[in-house]
Amino acid sequence: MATVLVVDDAAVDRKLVGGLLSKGKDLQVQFATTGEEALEKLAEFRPELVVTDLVMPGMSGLELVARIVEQCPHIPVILMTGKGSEEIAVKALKAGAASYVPKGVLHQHLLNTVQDVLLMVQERSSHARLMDCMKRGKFHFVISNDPSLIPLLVNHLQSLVMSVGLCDEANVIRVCIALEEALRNAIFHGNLELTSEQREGDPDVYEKLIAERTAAQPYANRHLEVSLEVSPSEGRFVIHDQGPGFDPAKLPDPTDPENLEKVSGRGLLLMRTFMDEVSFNETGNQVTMVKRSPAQEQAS
Amino acid sequence: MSDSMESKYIRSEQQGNVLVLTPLFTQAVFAEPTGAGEWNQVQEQLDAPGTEQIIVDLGEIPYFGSTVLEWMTQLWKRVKIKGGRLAVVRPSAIGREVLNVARLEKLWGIFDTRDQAFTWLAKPQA
Repeated sequence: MATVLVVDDAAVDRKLVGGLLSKGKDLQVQFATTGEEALEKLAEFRPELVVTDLVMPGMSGLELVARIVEQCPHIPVILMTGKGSEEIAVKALKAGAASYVPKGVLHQHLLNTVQDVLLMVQERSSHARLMDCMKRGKFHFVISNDPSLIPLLVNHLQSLVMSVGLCDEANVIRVCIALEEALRNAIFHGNLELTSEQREGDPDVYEKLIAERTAAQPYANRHLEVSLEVSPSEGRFVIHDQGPGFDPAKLPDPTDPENLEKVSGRGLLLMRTFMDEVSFNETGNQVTMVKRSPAQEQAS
Repeated sequence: MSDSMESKYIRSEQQGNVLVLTPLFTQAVFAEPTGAGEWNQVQEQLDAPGTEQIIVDLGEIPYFGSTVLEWMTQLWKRVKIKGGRLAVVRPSAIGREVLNVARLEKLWGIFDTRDQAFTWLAKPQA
């Protein structure tokens, strides 16, 4: 039985939505009349889904979406919008709402949308349950110089790190920032041999250079090897590029007042700040980064 | 009076002599074909005679790395030539940490709200 919390200040609309949802199988409906009351109810019990009106006195539906995304990110929200509020609906989707249904077509679409979103939540939760059982993961990726793969890989690593419970959410984000920096360095500075000076120049020229090198030898055949091993006590990430390498000791300190105004050069600083250990091989084309769990870090 | 414009990666609002830019990206978008076009557009706005100061509103991105720092440094350098300043508003906790690690609070004002930033920018430089 899935519980749906319906939030609407108008009694007639609450009745309408409650009636529509009562036709669904295994749905239990609870009500709140304002955004503030909805948040209080969320503290009392955890519904599987929230359906909220957009325009309400006090906290708006849009604000409620933002608060729920912040406080209970696993609970999806469907927004009911009035005529002419499509722009706000888009904002709500960007803010994290799962879907929206115009009030004029509630009869036709609300129940289907609720059931679709609930199905998605159940699938996600089944996958999360399985991932919760994972105690150690070892992966090896070989990727081309395609920067659009970076966010995909980082998202994947993020879910692995979270699944094994290596660290809290804030530290997971720190790990992601460090990984993104390392992957970008490996593609752009490593395999494509682009310099910071080129990067700081004309963006059109830089783009052309990226395109040229991505297609030309010897850059085109180069790839990245990304190995990672995660467990509840430690994450070890190794990124190897096929460029000529560099000497990290020769990089200027970006926090030195003399270098503070330089446009680039902060990637390695962020990697070193957000990981517990960062080391390079002798050639400088392979970086190994380690993140330990708080308990492991204390012990070491 | 405020004129606003939103593209895929940046929302820009002109409020008096202050250009408020809200990045909607965390990745290296300016290494993508559409990104450079947007950067050129922002440069035009920065170079317009009416723009003297910049606010970068980081409230739409949960975290960021060196790409966003590079982008902001380029903006700052551009407006510094005109004698202007750059204020950063609404960074997340992690975002504030990134700014502090890079010691960029020494170059820019960092604030929780736009109002605080507008007040700071309105004061004469020390």
